[in-house]
Amino acid sequence: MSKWECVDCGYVYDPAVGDEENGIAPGTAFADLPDDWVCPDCGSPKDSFEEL
Amino acid sequence: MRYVIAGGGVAGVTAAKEIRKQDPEGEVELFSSEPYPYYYRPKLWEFIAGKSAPEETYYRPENWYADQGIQLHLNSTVVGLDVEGKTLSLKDGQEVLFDKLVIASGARSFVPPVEGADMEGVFALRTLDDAKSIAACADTVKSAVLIGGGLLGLETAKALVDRGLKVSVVEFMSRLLPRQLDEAGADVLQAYLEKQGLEIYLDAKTERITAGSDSLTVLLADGRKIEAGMVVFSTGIRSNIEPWKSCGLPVGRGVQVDEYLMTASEGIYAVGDAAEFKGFVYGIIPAATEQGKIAGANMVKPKSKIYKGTVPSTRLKIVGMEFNAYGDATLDGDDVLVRRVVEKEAGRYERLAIQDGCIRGAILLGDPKKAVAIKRLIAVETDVSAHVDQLLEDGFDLKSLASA
Repeated sequence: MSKWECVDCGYVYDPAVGDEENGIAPGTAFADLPDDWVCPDCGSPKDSFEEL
Repeated sequence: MRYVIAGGGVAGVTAAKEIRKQDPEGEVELFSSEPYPYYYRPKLWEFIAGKSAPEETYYRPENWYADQGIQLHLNSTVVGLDVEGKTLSLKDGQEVLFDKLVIASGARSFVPPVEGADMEGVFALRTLDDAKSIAACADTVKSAVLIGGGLLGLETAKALVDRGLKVSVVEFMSRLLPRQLDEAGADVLQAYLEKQGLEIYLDAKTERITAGSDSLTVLLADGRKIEAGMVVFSTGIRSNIEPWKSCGLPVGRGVQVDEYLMTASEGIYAVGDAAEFKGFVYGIIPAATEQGKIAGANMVKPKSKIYKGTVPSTRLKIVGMEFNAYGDATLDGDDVLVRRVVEKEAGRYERLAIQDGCIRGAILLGDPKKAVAIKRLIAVETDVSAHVDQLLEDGFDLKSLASA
């Protein structure tokens, strides 16, 4: 599964790590993140991410 | 240990989060002059465009702070600092003691001293309250003049178009986005924006604003006149440095910091739009988050992380058109190789500036797919001299080059 980067702040979403703080389990693909998930660093929406 | 954060924007909140991560025990207190918890500023355009409610701009609910063990104090403007006594003073007279402090007081809109700029119906956009005032006024008028053809100005202009207004953009320079685009790129962007219904005035210096019975008139220095229901300035920001000016810390355009993001005083740090690093105030989100993380770490473990600067990057996303500029975007000169793709009809423009074998600056208009790879090539200074002529070709594998 590929990593995605927030183009607003540079945060990288790594599916292997997930986003535990916001209830995203490790192993969750970027595509499977809920639509209202936002960048945990800056709050930018999902469509601000680019695939690495 | 008592950590205090002066400012509730993205730099301050990032620092608070990092402090908490590094020190689960310490007290973390965040003071914000805003009446709202941190919101993601680009969402303000969605709100003005009528696409989301103000609460939807909040990035985290208020209880998130408590859950993280961060004490959030809203409506708490810091007005002074006693460096020796390690004390902040708030507007309401309260005094706040700290062991470690990070200054994250951000910036505010700068409005040039134009006659009439203080009239009713004239605005500048920075905060959620500004956005609310602009949206409320926009519902009572039919047209707007946006002064300032920079990145934020164009976003605001487009948001007002989406709200149903006729919008004119007034730019002082001879092209749009003068800091991020060269002539050819600005030309492609302008053609696109005009198709979206924006009217663009270039080489236009605003002389004054006058009020008629039910509209405002913007008078340009060359005699042109634009009539509209409201006026919005988007002419840059100024760091909020007033509270720190008389405390003895070196302050230039921002509070000056070293490579640890520490000010001249041990234990006092500065980040984001209020911080000046090597003579530079970045004023962009990526720098604010990077600095927030590094300062937060250094506040807990002194000198554990070094800040090397942030590659300037800007991004504009106007329905169907994506714009990215990285590094020294408009770099030119005898020792600079420039590679371009210009497709005006398709709204596509790409420009790379290559110097000493490395990409130093990039402009990507229309197609965001290459953005991440090119940003990385700039940041890690990859030698691209063997591929100079292929870099912008469709199908060239930038990703592999960037991850090599």
